[in-house]
Amino acid sequence: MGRITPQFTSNKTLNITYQTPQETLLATPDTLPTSEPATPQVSYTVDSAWLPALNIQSFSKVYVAQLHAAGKCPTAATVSWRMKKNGASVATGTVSVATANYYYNIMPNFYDVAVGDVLEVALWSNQTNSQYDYKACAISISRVIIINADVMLPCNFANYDYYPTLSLGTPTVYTQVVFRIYNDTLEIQLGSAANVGAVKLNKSYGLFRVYHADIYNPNTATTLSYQTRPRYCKNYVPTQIILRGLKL
Amino acid sequence: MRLSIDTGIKKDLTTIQMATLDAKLHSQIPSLVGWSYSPLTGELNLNLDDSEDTALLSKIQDLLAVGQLTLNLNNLKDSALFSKIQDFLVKVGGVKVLRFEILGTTKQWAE
Repeated sequence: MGRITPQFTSNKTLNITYQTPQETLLATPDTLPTSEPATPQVSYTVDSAWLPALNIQSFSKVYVAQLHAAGKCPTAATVSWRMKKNGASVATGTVSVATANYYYNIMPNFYDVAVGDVLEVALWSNQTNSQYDYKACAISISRVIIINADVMLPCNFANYDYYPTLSLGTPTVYTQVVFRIYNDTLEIQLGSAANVGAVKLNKSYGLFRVYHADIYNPNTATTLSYQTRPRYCKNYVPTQIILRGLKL
Repeated sequence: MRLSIDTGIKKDLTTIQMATLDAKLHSQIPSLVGWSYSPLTGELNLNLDDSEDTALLSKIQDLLAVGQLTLNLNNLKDSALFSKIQDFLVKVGGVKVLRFEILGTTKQWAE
């Protein structure tokens, strides 16, 4: 049963500030072992300072982490990997580097991370001379609900950006994929800033979902072989949303 | 190009099982660059090489240019690569395709 008189909240402007990714490029590459190491080469403990900052307290949200692990293979090799969250195996896989002196690029996506979570990637190779020299961690936000109301009116995705931007090594971008917004169950790809008018709030997906690590490849990895590293995927992310809640 | 399939199995893999799966996948799909498998979801993701991405993207662009395609990937069933994937899925059997992605364009099947 709806209200006779709908209730509006005040107009709110949500600003989302994404943090500079954590990046390390080793001056001297490590040599990968030929069997799975007990101690993963890549290890990050999620810090509160790495999380996107919101200027308004949210009703709910999900943080997703994109890690990167990369290195050169002086001869053709198959590099195996295992990603772990708090010591438990989340996903496994391999990447084949068919051309000598190419790099493997592994991008593990962890869905739903929190401060204190330990995110790890173990690497090993079928060759004795494969290397590891680059790691990174960037945290995005998805499924944000600011106002737990039925309808957002307006719902203006006023500003956006691509995230992360990596700087060490020789970064090249593989894909930049737009986020999805929801009007109830209808999924809409948003390719530019837009005032989408009124939307019925999807309680599962919130105002938007980022592509990598939520819609695509949550809790698994994208892998590439390329002539440089890091070669990586960016998420198109909203940085400002102007909205008002409406309870029916 | 990336393809996600539901194996229906949610089991962590040992290093030996990983090596066996790796050999089988590479024998079926020569263009396979990498794969990942999650014991949490049972999903197997196949990463195929960039050159075939480019070839498929060119095909999509050609179809778009003559107005025959509105990014409906069903229209790509005649492509050699899609046929190869279909052949692979028939060979491995008993799997369900979840998503098929070319450079950010995704076709998703209902679960």
